[in-house]
Order: sequence, then C-alpha cells, then structure tokens
Amino acid sequence: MAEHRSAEVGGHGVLKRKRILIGGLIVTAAIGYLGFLGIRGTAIYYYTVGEVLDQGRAVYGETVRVNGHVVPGSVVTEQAGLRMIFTIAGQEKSLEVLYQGAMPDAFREDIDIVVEGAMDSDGTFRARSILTKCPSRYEPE
Amino acid sequence: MAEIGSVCLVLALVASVYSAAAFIASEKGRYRVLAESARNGLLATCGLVSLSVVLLVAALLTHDFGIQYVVSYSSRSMSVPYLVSALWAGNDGSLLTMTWLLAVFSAVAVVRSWRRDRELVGYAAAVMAVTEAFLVLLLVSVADPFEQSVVAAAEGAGLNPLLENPAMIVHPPLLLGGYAGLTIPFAFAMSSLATGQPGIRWLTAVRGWAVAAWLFLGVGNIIGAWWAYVELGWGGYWSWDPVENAGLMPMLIITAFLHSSVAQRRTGRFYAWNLALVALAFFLAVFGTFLTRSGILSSVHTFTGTGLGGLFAGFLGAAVIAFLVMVVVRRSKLRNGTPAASMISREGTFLLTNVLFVGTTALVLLGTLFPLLSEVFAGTRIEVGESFYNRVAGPLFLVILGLVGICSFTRWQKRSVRPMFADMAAPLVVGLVAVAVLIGVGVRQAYAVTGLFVCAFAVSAVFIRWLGELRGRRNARRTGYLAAGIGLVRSAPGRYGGYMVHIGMVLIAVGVIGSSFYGSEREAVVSPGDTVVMGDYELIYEGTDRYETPDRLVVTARVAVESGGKSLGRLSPERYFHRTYKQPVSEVAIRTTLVEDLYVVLLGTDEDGTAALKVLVNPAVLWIWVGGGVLLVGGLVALWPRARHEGDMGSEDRGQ
Repeated sequence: MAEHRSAEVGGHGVLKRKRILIGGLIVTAAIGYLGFLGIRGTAIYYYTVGEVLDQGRAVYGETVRVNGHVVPGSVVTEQAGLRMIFTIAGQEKSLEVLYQGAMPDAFREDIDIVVEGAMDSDGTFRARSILTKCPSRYEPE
Repeated sequence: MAEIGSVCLVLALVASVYSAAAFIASEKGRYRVLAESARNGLLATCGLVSLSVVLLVAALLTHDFGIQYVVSYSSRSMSVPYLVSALWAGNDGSLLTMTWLLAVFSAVAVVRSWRRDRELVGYAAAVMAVTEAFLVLLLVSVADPFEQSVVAAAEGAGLNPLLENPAMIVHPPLLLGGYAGLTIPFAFAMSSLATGQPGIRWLTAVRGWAVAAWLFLGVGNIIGAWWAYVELGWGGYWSWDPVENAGLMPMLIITAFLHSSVAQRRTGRFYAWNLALVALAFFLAVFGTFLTRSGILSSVHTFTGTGLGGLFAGFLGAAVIAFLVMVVVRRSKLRNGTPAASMISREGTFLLTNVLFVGTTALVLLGTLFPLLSEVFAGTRIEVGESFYNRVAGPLFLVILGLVGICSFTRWQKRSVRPMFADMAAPLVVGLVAVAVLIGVGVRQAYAVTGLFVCAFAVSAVFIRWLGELRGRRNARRTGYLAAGIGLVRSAPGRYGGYMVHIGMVLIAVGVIGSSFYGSEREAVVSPGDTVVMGDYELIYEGTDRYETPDRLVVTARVAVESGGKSLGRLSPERYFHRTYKQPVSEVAIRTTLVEDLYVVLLGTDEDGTAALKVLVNPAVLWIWVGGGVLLVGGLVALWPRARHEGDMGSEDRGQ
C-alpha cells in the first residue's frame, strides 16, 4: 500500500491530478450544456393579463403563462364540472379562460392564479393547466 | 399566557446572544471559565424556547383566541393532533418550531461534543448560538407568534382542508428539523477553520448530524410527495414547485457530503471541498427558508427589503461572507492528503458523484431562480416549466444510479479497471436479462428501458457486494449467515445503512420511471350506469350520494371497478364543501397494486346525477413509497453507533 502511494506522489501525482481536474471540468461542462438545452427547450413567457393582451396577435398559439385575478362571479362550470370558463383580470383588462380537466383544490374566486396555455384567435385563452400556490407556503397574503 | 411567551422569547434572545459572545471570548483564551457559563446560556435558551412552544401549544389546545395566531390557524372543531400541528401551520409558528428544533439540536450537540470534541466545540457552539439568536430576533420582532388578536374572536379560522391529512402533521417539522440540523455541521466547519484543527477532526463531530439532517429532509420530502399525490388530485407527486425545490437542494448537497466525507476519511483529501459542501448546504437551507417566506418569487416587486425577507437575505449574506473570510484566512491549512489514485478508484467515483449532485443542485437552483433573473436582467419574466427539471434531473440521477453500481467494484486508492470489469459481469448480466424481460412484456420506450437497466444493474451490484462481504465474514468467523449479517451491520452501520439507502433509491427510481413514462389518463362525463374503459379496467359509475357532517357537505361518487368481468371492488372519490372554507376539496380514490395505481378524481356533479370523472393509471407508484420506507430504515441504521469491539474494517477491505 505504502509503495503504491509514494509512487503516485510527485510527477505522476501532478499529472493524475490534472487529468482528474480536466475530467471534472468536462463533466461540469456537460451538465451545463444539459441545462442550457433544457432552458432553451422549456422556457415559457410569463405575462400579466394586461401584458398578454398588449402582445396581441404575436402570442396567438404560443404556450405562455398568464397571471391574473379570478373575477368573482365569473366562474361557470359545464358538463358536471368537466369544463370551466372563468375570467381573470389584471391592469384593468380581463381575459376569458377555458379549461377542461381537474381543477386544483386551491382554485376559487377572488384569488390570484397563473394559467398556462395559449391564446386562441378568438381572444379567449385555452388553458392546459392551472397553477395555484402550494397551500403550505407562508407568504404574506 | 401570551405575555409569558413573549417574555420567554426576549429572555432567549438575551441568553443566546450572551452565549455566543461568551463562547467566542472563552475561545480567545482570556476567560476560560466563561465556557461553562456560555454553555449554560445555550441550555437556558433551549429551555426558554421550549417553554414558549409549550405555551403556544397550550394556547392552541385551550382555544385562546386572544392570540392572533390561534385565531388564524385553529378552530374549536379540530382534533388534538391537528391542534398541535397548527403550531407549524403558519409562518410565525413554523419559525418558532424551527427555532426550537435548532435550540434542542444545539444543546444536544454541545453537550455531546463537550469532552469528545473539546477543541472544536467552542466556536461551533458560538455559530449555533448566533444562528439561534437570529431566529429568536425574528420571533421577537417581525414574526411574533404571541401577537394579540386585533378583534376578540369566538371562533378561529380553522385548518385549510388540504392540510387535514396525517402526512401534514409530520411533513413540516421534518423539513424544519432538516434545515435546523444543517446548522450543526456548518458550525463545526467554521470552528475547524477558526481553530486550525487538522481537517479530519471535524468529521467525527459532524457525521451523525449530517446523516440526521439528510434523513429528516429525505423522509420529509417523500412524505410531502405522498401527500401531494393523495390530496392534490392531479395524479402526480412532484411538480418542482419552488417550495419543493427549497427542500430538495440542501438534501442533494448534504448527500454529496455524506459521500465525500467518507473519501476524506480514507484519503485525507477533499477537506476544503467538504467544508464548502457543508457551508453550501446550510446556505441553501437559509436561502430556501428565505425563498418561501419573502414573496420574492411571485414577483421581484413584492420584495421590499424590510421585514422577514430582508432579514433572511441579510443573515445569509453575512454567513456567506463570514465563511469566505475564514477560508481565505486559513487557506494554508486546506491542502493535505494523498491524491486520488485515478478516476477509476473509489475516491474518483465519489468525486464524480459529488460533481453530479452539485451540478444537479445548480440546475435546480437555476430553474427556480430563472424567473427572477430574467426579470432583473432581461426585463421580462420567463419561467421554466416542469419539463425543464425532468429533462435535466432525470438523466443526471440516472448516471448517479449507474455510479452506485460501478462504485461497488472500485477500490480505495487503487486504479481498479481490470478487476472491476470482471466483478461487474454479474450485475451487467442481470441488467441485460431485465431489459430482455421488459422488452418481452412490451416496455419499449428507450428512456424507460435504459433507466430500468441501470436500476437492475445498480441494485444487483449492491446485493452482490453485500453478499460477498457477508460470506467473507461468515467464513472468517465460522458463524451462520444471520449472525454474520448482524455483526456486519453493527461493525459498520454507516456502510450498510448506505447500502440500504441505495437500494431504497433504486426502488424509488423504478417507481418514478414507471409512472413517468407509462402513465395514462382520461376524462369523462358519465350518467349512472355508464362505463369508462381505462386500460384493463372497466369503471362503472353507479351514482352519487350526498350527506352532511357538522363541518361539511360530502358528495360521494360510487364507482365499481371490474377487469375482464371480474369485480375488483369499489372506489369512492369524493368532494367536500366545508362550511368555513370557500374552496371545495376533492378526495381522490386510489386502488393500489404492486404494478400500478388506479386513480379516480371526482371533478364535479350535476343535480341529475351526472358526474365528471378523471381517471388515471399510474404504474409502479407504490415502489416510490416502499423505497421511501427502505430509505428511512437505511438512514436509521446509518445513525446507529458502531459496536466498538466488532470493528474490524480490515476484514471487509481484505475481501475487496
């Protein structure tokens, strides 16, 4: 054991250390590249209601997230709850949202939510998912 | 009662500040008698904070609505366990809980290390006392749990119905305990730097705490995932929410440390790396607490720089600067030990594992902060979806699992390529057989097959090595397998706990792979008598019942489940309409088998008996929870003290 070790210290040791360092850097670079690809492939623009309406036709069909306030009294359920239509508001503008699927339990009127989906050419928003806040968050309301 | 609680916290602040100052002064050598007094200050802090906790819990149990916190988070109709758990349901109470846990851990750590780690305990205790003082300062200023209620109320707001689940009683304190527990290793790291002690000393003080903190965070995260799966009704268990990420990142870093600390003990190297890991874990814990309480992620504009968020940011900044200063001042002490023999030695694979863990954490952090960074630097807010994390963490975790297998065949300080390939033949064969079986039953998805191959390879590698060591000990000591097994675990509980944890991780990976690639779902609107076909299942919707309990209206759908004509029982997904909470809550109905979960959500109902259902089939989810259980057992085993007379590390090494 002892002979092994002393053979590695000195000239050999420095070379080995360099090799390991280079190996580590390559792995790190690979991870970084993986991250870069990931962000490029999954980045989603996040708008408020006012901002997304200002974008106009530019965002039609593109997957985006929109943050708005659920207008009280605007929630309509169809087909025994399978589909929901509601309005979110922000910056004195409002947007109608159509959603089909399981509504998160945290969803209700008069709260801030984020909807993810795409603007339709008819001016309504087709939501693919509704994002509400994790209920165990401790942020001030 | 509230006044006494507030007074206790103020006294605790005084005691902890005194304790910190006295420890530092005593270490400087001038007033050694101060050390005892400083330790008593820390114990007093623990006692005072404990008393505050008792008082708040008592207030909750007696419905003392004179205290605002009791009004906001409890009600007369809550049962005792949930009343106690209200202690950590809200911001102030959960901060008090974390402060209390840190006080207890600090007291235990200091008493335990008083003689064992005499040289290190002084500065370490000072760091713990400073952290504790900071938290108590928050409780006394901006987050007072004993604040009087504005309006005298007869009834409280009660518990958010989503949190009415046994998992939610355990999940927050586990995570809070994990965060608090990470302070101890950091404290000893700072002390190691301050005292200039040999790099190896601090590891013995810290190992148990690192394992404990890891265990708290690991089990806490898995319970959180289980709760999300059964309560939230979207069919998944992890959504890479910033709150979830805040609990994951420190855990990944401390996992890396658990590996590289072993490498430091064996080779004497990686001292600086280990100090950095432990500090990073602590910083991420503080950062995570900051993220989830400051509102900064909702929008950079909600962060005002004063109040809770600002104070945490300030504390984090001060801690980072203090650590960096210590590292720079002591940099001459950081280089020592034998160089890694090669990449293909055990320390080489451990190093690679570390890079992967740190890299994964960095990417998760990047994704979590991306909206903030893009808002600040690009003026427009860009978020990364769930798929970012899955695309990035998936492959990295898979490589790490592969290393679990490969590492079993590496040796310390030796370049072990040729013997490694010979030993690896058996697990590789097992992996290939698994692939053949999978393809045979129809599993063709490339990622799933690759992932399951790695899982089969890793788990058989661990078992083969374990069996080899078992056999070696049995032959050396002429005992039966059982005695050899028990003796083996008692001689090196850290190692065998580690084997169990690796096996648990493989089980979790199998569950994640199965449910990620082969899940299916559909939605349907049904009238009584309709059948929904999902995979091999036929779900017959029979009708809806309604009934009322004292605090809610319950709507239950009756669904009969059959497969190929044979009855498999019933599922009853429900929706609750609470009297005090405006949001309806859905209770998912799940039929679990080893192979898959049948998961049914009641989306809504109409007066005429029509119902909207969402049905999911999630394969292999049970393996995640089983793996979590194995993880827990492995972690507990790793915490067990090594049986001194059994210790004969040489015998296992000889067998390598």
